[in-house]
Amino acid sequence: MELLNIRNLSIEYKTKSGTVKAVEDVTFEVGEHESLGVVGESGCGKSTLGVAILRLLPPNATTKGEIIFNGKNLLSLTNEEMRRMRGKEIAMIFQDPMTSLNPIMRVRDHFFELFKVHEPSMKKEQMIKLASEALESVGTDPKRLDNYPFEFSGGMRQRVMIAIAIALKPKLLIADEPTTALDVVVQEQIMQVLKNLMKTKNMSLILITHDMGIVSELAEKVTVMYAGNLVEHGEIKEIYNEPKHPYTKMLLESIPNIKLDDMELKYIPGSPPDLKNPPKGCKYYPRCPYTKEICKTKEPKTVKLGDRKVKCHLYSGG
Amino acid sequence: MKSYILTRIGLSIPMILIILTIVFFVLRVLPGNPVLAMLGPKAPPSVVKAMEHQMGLDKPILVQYVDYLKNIAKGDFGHSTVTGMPVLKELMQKFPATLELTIFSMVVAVFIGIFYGTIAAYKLGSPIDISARIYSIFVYSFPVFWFGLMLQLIFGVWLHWLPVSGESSPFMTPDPIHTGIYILDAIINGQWDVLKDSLEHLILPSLTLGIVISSIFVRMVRANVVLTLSQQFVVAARARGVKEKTVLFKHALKNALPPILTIMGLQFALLLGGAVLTEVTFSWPGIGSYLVNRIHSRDFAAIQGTIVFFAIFVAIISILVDVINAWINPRVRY
Amino acid sequence: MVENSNQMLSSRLSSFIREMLGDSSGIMALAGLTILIIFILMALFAPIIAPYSPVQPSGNPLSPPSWHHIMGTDNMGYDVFSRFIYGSRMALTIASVATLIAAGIGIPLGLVVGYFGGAVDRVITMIMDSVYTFPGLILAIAIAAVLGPGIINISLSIAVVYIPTYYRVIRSQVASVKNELYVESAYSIGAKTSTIIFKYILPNVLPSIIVVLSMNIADAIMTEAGLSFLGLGITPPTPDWGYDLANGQQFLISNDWWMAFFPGVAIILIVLGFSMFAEGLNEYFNPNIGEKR
Repeated sequence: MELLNIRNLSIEYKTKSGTVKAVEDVTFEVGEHESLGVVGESGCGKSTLGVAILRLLPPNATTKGEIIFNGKNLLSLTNEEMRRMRGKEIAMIFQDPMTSLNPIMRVRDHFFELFKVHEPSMKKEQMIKLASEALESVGTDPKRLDNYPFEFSGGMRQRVMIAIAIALKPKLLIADEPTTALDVVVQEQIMQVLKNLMKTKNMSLILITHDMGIVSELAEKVTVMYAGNLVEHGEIKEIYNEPKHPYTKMLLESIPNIKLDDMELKYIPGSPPDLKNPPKGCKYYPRCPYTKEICKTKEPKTVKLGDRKVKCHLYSGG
Repeated sequence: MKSYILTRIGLSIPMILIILTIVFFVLRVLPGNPVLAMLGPKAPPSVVKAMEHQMGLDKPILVQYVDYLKNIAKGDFGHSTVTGMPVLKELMQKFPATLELTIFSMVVAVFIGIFYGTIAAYKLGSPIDISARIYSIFVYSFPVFWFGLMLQLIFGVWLHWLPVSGESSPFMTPDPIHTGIYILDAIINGQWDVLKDSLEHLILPSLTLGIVISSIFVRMVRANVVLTLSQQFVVAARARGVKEKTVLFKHALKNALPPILTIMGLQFALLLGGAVLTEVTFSWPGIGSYLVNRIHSRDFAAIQGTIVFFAIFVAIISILVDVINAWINPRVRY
Repeated sequence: MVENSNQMLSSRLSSFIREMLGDSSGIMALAGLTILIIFILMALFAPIIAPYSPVQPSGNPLSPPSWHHIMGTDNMGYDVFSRFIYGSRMALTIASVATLIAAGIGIPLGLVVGYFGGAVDRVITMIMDSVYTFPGLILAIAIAAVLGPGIINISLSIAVVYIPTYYRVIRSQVASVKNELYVESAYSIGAKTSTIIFKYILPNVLPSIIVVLSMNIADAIMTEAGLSFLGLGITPPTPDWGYDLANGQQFLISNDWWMAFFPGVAIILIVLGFSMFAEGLNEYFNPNIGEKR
C-alpha cells in the first residue's frame, strides 16, 4: 500500500487582485520508505503542495481533492486530529534554517515542546535521551542541546531542524528546499545527513526543490511541476535517461555539468506564467520549442506511459 | 547579567544629568524671576534681594548650577518655601500613592494591550481586528481627565457604585503604614475592610489612565505580533503539531515582547504625564497633585524637586525595562 | 522648471487622491481631513456660527441642554455651545504656534546635524533623546509654571517638549537618505552643501514631516487642554476647552454633566481628526514609522 496518495489536488489563493491557481489537479503517490523529489521553478506550486499536506496553508487558500495518508484523508480530519499528525506522523523542514528555530528558545526546549505535545506522559530523562539520539543521528553533538539557535551556523541549524523533525520517527518527512539557503559545501553535508536517514530510518521523504541535481542524488521518483500542474512523474532513472516533457528536458539541460564538453550553460527562456491569468491550453506553450496549434487552445490530458505520467500533447496523440 | 545591569546604570547617568541641566536652566534662566513670581510683582526690592540671597540666587549662575547638582547627589532637593519641609521628604510621602496608581494603570493597559492586540493580530482583517484598530485610534484621542470625569459621572454620580475621589474614605487608612501603598499595607495588616475601601477608590483612576494608555499598547502589540506571526519559526512550530494557543502566546507573542517592552518603557513617560492629570481629576494624593498644588502656591523648590524626582524615576524605569528585555532575549544578555 | 514641478505635483496629487479612496486607510485620512476642515471653518467663522457671545451670560446658569442652548449653559450662564465653537480658536492657535516653533527648531537642527554627523551629532542626539524620554506633559507643566499664562508662553512650553520628535525623525531620515546614490552623485559633481540639503534631502524627508506634523498637532492640542485643565493655560473667561472642562468638574457631582462633557467631545473630535489624517497619510507615504509612536 502507498503511504501517501494525493488525488486531484487543487489549491487556490484568493487575493485582492484575483484568484491564484497555485496547484491544479495534481495526482501522485509516495510509497513507504520511498523518496520523491518535487521539482520546478519558484512559484510553480511545489512549496504550496508541501504545506498543503500538513494543512498549514493560510486562510485565504482553498483546497480541493484528497490527501490520503496511511488510509486516512487528511482533508477530512478535524483540526485537532490534524494537529496530532503534525510532527508525529508527518514532519517538515523548511528552506531557511536561520529563521525556522524560535530565537528565544534553547534547542532543548524545541525538542521538549514537541515531546510534550505528542507524548505528554514522557519522562524528562526519556526526552533528553530521544533528543540526544536525534541530534547524534544528524551528526550533531548532544551537548549542544543547551544552546540557543543564534549560537549555531546555518548548516548546524538545519541539522537541528532535521533532528527535531525526525525525533518522533515520523512516517513522512517533507523537506522544502532544505539546502537552498546554504553554501555548497554545507549543502552536500545536509544531503549526506538526509541520505543516511533514508538508509537507517523507516521513513518516506518528499524533497521539494528547484535543483534537479539534488533530486538525482536522493530521490527514487520525481514529480516535475510547472505553473501548478504536474507535467511529468516517474522513476528518476527513466526521467533522467529519457525526459518526455519538453519542460523536463529543459530542466535537465539547465543542470550545470562539468563533464559536458561544451561548457555552455543552458537556461529556460521566458518566465513562468502569471497564475492569476494563466494562458489558455497548455501552460507551458509560450516557452515550449515544440508548440503546436492545439497547445494554445486545449489543455493536454495526463497520459500514462508505463510507470510514467506525462501531461503533454506530444504524447496524448493530439 | 550583573555587568550588563551595571553598564546600563552607567549609561543612564548622562541622561539624568542632561534632564537635570535642562530643568535647572528652564527654572532659573528663562524670563520670569522665580522670586518675583513667588512674591508678586509689587514686592519691595529689598525684600526681593533678601529672598534672592536666601535662595542663593545672587550667586553666579554656574556656581548655582554646581551647588544644585551637588545637593541632588547628596539627596538634598531643597526645602519647600511653603511648608519649610525638605522637598524629598514630602515627595517620598506622596510617592507611594503615585506608584500605586501607575502600577495598577499599567496592569490595566498591559492586560488590554496584550490580549486585544494579540488576538487582533491573530485574526488579521477580521471584525475583531478592525474593532481593535478603531479602539486604538478612538481611545487615543480621549483626554484622560475628560474620560476620568465621565467615569465619575457614570459610576459615581449615576450608579453610586464607586467613590469618585481620594485614595481612601475618612478613617479608612491602613494602620500602621508600612509601605505607603494602601492596598499593600491593608493586606499586611489584615485589614480587609480597609483593603476593600482602597480597592474601590483605586478602580476608577486606574481604569481611566489604564484604558487611555491601552490604546497605544493595543496598536503596538498588534503590529509586532503580526510581524512575528509571519515568521518561519511560527510555521515550523505549527508543523510540529504545537497547539495554536501555544504558537500564538509562546512563540509569536514572546518573540514580539522585546520591541513591545521597549516601546512600553518609552510610553511610561506618557503614563506619568497622564498620572498627573488623573491624580488631579480624582484628587489622588500623589506627586502629580503635589506638583500642581505647589505650582499654584509658587513653591519653586518643590516644583524643581518634583521634576528631578520624575527624571530619576523615568531613568530607573527605563533601566528596569532593559533588564527585563535582556532576561527575555538571550541575545542581549550574552 | 517651476512649471514642471507644479505639473508633477498636480499629477502626484490626483493619483494620491485616487489611491486614498481605494482602501480603508485612505478613507480614514479623508474622514480625518473632513473633521479638520469643519473645525477650521468653525474657528474662522465662530462669530457667525455661535448663537451667543461666549463670554457673556445668555441664559440662566446651569440650564441643561435645550432648544435655546443645545449644550446647556455653564455656572455663569454662558452658552456652552458658543464656547465649544470659540474654543476651537484657542486650541488650533496654540497647537499650530507650538508645532511651528517645535518644527522650526527641530527640523533644521535634524537636517544639519543628521547631514554632518560626528561628535556634535552624538551630543545633540543624546540631549534630544533625554528630553524625548522625559514625560512631555510634566516638562510643559514646569515651563508653563515659570513662564505664566498667555498664548505665546503656553505655545512655547508645549513646543520645547516636541522639538525632539522632529529632530529624531528628520535626523534618522537624513542619515539614511544622505548615503543614497543620487545624493552622493550630487556631492561628487560639486554641489554645495546647502544645495544638497535643501534640494535633494529635504524633499525626500518631506512626507515624514507632514505625517509627524499632523500627529504632533493632535498631541499639542491634548497637551494644551491638559495645561489649561490644570489651570496653567489661558486666563479665563477666554473660551478654552480644557479650562471649561476643569470648571465643569465641580458641577459634575450635582449631575450638571454637560459643562464637562461637551468640551471633551470637542477635544476628542479634533484630536481624532488630526490622528486619522496622519494615520492615513502615514500608510500612504511610509508604512513603517506609524507603529512606534
